[in-house]
Amino acid sequence: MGYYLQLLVNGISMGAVYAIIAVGWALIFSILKFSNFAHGGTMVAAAYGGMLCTQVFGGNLWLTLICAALIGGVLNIAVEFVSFRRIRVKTNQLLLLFVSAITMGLLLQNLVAIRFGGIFYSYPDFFANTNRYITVLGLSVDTADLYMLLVASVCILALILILKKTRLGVAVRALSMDSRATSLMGMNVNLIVLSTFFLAGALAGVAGVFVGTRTVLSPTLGSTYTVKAFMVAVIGGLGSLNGALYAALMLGILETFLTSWIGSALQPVGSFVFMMIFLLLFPNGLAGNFTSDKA
Amino acid sequence: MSFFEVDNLSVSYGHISALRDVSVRVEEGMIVSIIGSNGAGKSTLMNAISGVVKRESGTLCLEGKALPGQAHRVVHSGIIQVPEGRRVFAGLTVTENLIMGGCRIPAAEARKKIPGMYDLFPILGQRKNQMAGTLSGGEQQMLAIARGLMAEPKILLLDEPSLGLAPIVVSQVFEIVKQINEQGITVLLVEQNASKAMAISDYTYVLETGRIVAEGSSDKLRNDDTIKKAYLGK
Repeated sequence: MGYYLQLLVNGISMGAVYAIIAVGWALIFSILKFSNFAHGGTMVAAAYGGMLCTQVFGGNLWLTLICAALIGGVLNIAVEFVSFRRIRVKTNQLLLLFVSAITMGLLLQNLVAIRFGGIFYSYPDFFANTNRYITVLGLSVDTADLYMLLVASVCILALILILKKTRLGVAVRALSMDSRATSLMGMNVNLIVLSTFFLAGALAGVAGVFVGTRTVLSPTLGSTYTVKAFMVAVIGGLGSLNGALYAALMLGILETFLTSWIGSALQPVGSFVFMMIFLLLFPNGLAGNFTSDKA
Repeated sequence: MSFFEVDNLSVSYGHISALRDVSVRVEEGMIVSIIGSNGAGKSTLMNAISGVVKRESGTLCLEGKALPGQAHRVVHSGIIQVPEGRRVFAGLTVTENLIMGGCRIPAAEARKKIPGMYDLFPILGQRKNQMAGTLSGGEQQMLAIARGLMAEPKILLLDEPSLGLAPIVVSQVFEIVKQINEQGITVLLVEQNASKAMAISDYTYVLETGRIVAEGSSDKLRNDDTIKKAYLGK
């Protein structure tokens, strides 16, 4: 019993990291109505950027997180400018955006590979001076997992506050409903899009650091996590932030349990089978009100 | 020099010309209406003024200053459009819709203006935490107008505010437009409901297939035989 509870805690903290990737994805989908397949590229580039920062700041987790978030955010603004801006303004054809996103994702990943490819990099041990495990309610929980859960939760809460309480956040939600009416309110739509890309990129940067601390950094993490984010977004219902949140937790827990039962080699197979069955049963995802009329 | 001037405005969609050499003058404090049938170019005129449709040629001046081309900058110069079909943000609450309407003014000021809107539109006050999509058509129209007023407009552009509303609600909406105007806000009104529009406006333009074919004080046009036949069904 205790073992399964511990698996559950591990799964939830992994799911929380998936959640901050997927929520960024959903945010962009909700305003632009297309899947940003460059998201994983931004994440992995920011993860490497964060790793470079640790060489300056040493093993300080918080400074590294802030750095990676900034790198991710700024990078995502560049992605919007280079890959999407002109297509959006001139044609807004989803197919072009889609191709452009995939190209940019591959470009980012391969730029990372060119710069860092030959050698394995990993983050320094941020928790070297703390207890490796903390006992909570009789469960011994990995300190790194606990921090992951904590930081991801704070990020998501902050995002919710921004979306609910600030005018920019209200504008982001308004833009997801009606772009023309938003500009008729006097909002600069391009500026809102850029801000959204910044937020999504910053979340991806934070996720990148945690993905990096859990495993060894490799450029291909970009496409791996693009696929994961896409899975979560589809299961959650495209464009739905709540859906993405629940689906991410679900995937995190599922992967952890599957890894324990059938091993990490077969685990992706299990995850994909689960996604196929889930989509057969719920084609619109957990909260897919967007898919029926807008996708 | 008039308060607001549109001179020789032309707009095309591809090869199709939607507006040709349209000139409109609006004096401060007036209600000016533009009437015309479906496809006459009324909404195109509104959208060209607001900058959401590209202007091909022509000049637009508000208080002697040229109007910018981008939609959000037009709003900041003080011309606010209440769009056709209302286009309230269905998934935002009534209050959040009003907050969006106040984007032109500082956020703190916008929040202070909201109670005043609920005095003007009590029904919106009762529904302030409801999603705008759950309101009735008439309530949504009130919300759209209130949202426009939040921006403290110099000119309020109203695009077919009576569209799809029950007759009794239509009368309410026109009553509100009159009230707003009495508070000193200049109104440019586009309507298919010609008799109601001419009844509350000072001056009227008649738009037909992208051109102004008649203009004059609303009282005069109401008694014009051709206008009566074509637009008032008499």
